[in-house]
Amino acid sequence: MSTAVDLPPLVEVQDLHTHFLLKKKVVRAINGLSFSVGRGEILGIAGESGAGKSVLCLSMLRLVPQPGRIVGGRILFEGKDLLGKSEHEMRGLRGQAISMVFEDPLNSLDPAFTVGDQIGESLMLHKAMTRSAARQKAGELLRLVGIPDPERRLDNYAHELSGGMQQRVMIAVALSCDPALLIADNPTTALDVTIQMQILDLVKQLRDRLGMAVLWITHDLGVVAKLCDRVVIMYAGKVMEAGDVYDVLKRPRHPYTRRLIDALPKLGHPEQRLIPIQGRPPNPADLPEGCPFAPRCYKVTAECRSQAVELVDTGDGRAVRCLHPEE
Amino acid sequence: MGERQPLVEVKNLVKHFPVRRGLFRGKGALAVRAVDDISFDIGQGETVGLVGESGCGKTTTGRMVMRLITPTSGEVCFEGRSINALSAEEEKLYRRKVQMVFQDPYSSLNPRMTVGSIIAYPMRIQGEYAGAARDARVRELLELVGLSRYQASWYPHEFSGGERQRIGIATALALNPRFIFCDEPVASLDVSAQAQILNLLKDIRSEFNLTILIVTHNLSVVEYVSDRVVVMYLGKIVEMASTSDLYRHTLHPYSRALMSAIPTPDPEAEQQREQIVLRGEIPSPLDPPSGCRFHTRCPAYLGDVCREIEPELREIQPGHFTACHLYASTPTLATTASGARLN
Repeated sequence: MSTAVDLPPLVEVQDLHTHFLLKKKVVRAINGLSFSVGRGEILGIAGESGAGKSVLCLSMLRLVPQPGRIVGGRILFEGKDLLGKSEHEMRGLRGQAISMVFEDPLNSLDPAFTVGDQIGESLMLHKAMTRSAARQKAGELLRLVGIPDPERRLDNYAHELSGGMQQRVMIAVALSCDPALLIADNPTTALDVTIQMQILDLVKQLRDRLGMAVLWITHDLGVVAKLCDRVVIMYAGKVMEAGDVYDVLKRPRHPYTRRLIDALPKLGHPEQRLIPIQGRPPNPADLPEGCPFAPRCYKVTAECRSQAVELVDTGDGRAVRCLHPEE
Repeated sequence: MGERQPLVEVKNLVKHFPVRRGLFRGKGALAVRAVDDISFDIGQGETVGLVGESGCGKTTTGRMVMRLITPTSGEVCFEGRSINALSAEEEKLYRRKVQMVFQDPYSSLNPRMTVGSIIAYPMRIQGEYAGAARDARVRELLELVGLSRYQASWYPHEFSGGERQRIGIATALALNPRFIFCDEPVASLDVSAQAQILNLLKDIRSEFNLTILIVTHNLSVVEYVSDRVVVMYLGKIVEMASTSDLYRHTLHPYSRALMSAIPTPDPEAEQQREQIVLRGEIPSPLDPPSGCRFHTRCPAYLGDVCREIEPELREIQPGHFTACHLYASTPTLATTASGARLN
């Protein structure tokens, strides 16, 4: 589902670099990352742990903790660079135009406030609603995210809810100010599969109804296949491959994408022996000169190791960073 | 598979954890019914997968088999003998035969011990392989799980998650056990490490004719490694069959929903297959629903019969068991899926 090709994308990340400046070394978590998110699009960002996915989330909200810093690039949101905004302007955007859902719902909800208070807080802050109006709207939001008996749930505390319900509340908080972009960092990893299915279903419905764009960060290509329109495969802080979910997962061009798929057990084909990826991901404080995947790649040549490899747009809405891509 | 001599027999196993309600009320009748009367067996050399969502009792079952917790009632037999009443000496011998691989390779390895001493620890306790033979055995085990013999002097933090899980497996293999219980062995690993560990489990199993019980929530992992699968829901077995039967002819509505909820990386298959979104949440095991425990979320709910009568686990096809009223009108081993009521 590629929406509005001619309209400018909602978000354009261009050549982003986020580094952690330690005493003796520099950890290059994000390393020249570029991608865009269209309006109303669900974009999956997939990769293994250490690929820089979570740092990317924090970078987009300008919440990278010390000693991390965004050292280069641009993050255009509705055409304007977020990196040029003041902290005051960013506060106006966070939770409003751009909102976020985190991996662990129980740690992101405040145990001392009721669910209704927490949803109402952002409404009173950003939308200047009165307490009673905020409470009413909070009830509507809980209904929207599929929580049964929402009026009663408003007075519950986080610990009184199950993991799936907590994540729904987090989504309700995130939706409270009609965001244009929802960033979700691995929000279903802590949930059971049947509950994960409910949440994925909910996010799709909400996108269709509210037209917001979603940036869904995950390590699970299965979730990408179920939910996303497009996918970006990340490795060592770079985009390795990007494109329509169907194309990328059906006909991966980058050897890394291919290996990620080969390493997963396929439902219905237990006889296919899994092909693990050899070696380890590179140390982000000591990245190889050429392609970061070269030491683990089955198609590696001398050039891969010696020269920097660019992300090449192959025209059909796809891009791949490889000197020897698969056909 | 069914004709093999069972190595492990689980008979009417029950585990209730009593719950205190408030400070002064003491232990009442209230209990978390973690495992509620389940029976199955594991054949010699067989790998059985125990699947279900959180709170279904799968780990509790495994722990009872390991004799780490005592059942409320029922028993586990190993090599034909009940493990309920073992003497201290017999227990030590039992510990040699059964081993465990843990979920979290970060917290299950002592950070202050070298990998060599971690792997040698069970041998030390059991007094096996003295002196140079023990060091040789450690090196042999390291190589067996795909690590280098020189890594024996390293500490756990020097290894990645997948490599740590290999160390856990090497430790489990140290005493040549007959049976290994793997509790979510790949849940905390990245895909590439996950594939390595699953392949390793398959390899050691055929090399040493090991019997394995693997507990996981991931149905595609279970399909890859298991011969037979047991599906649990809220302390009960809802379906049990050989892996190919279970995946090709799924009977129980819960197993079907579970199957459809597994994300697969194939968008084409994803579009074609049945997508079942279950209503509601997993009910509390403190107060499980009456009748069939799945009736509150079941997409094939038949009415009163499901709410009132607990379905029995019945053999619908040879070796294929399910506990569901949908199959109640099939007295013998036939496969009609009629919805007739029990009366």
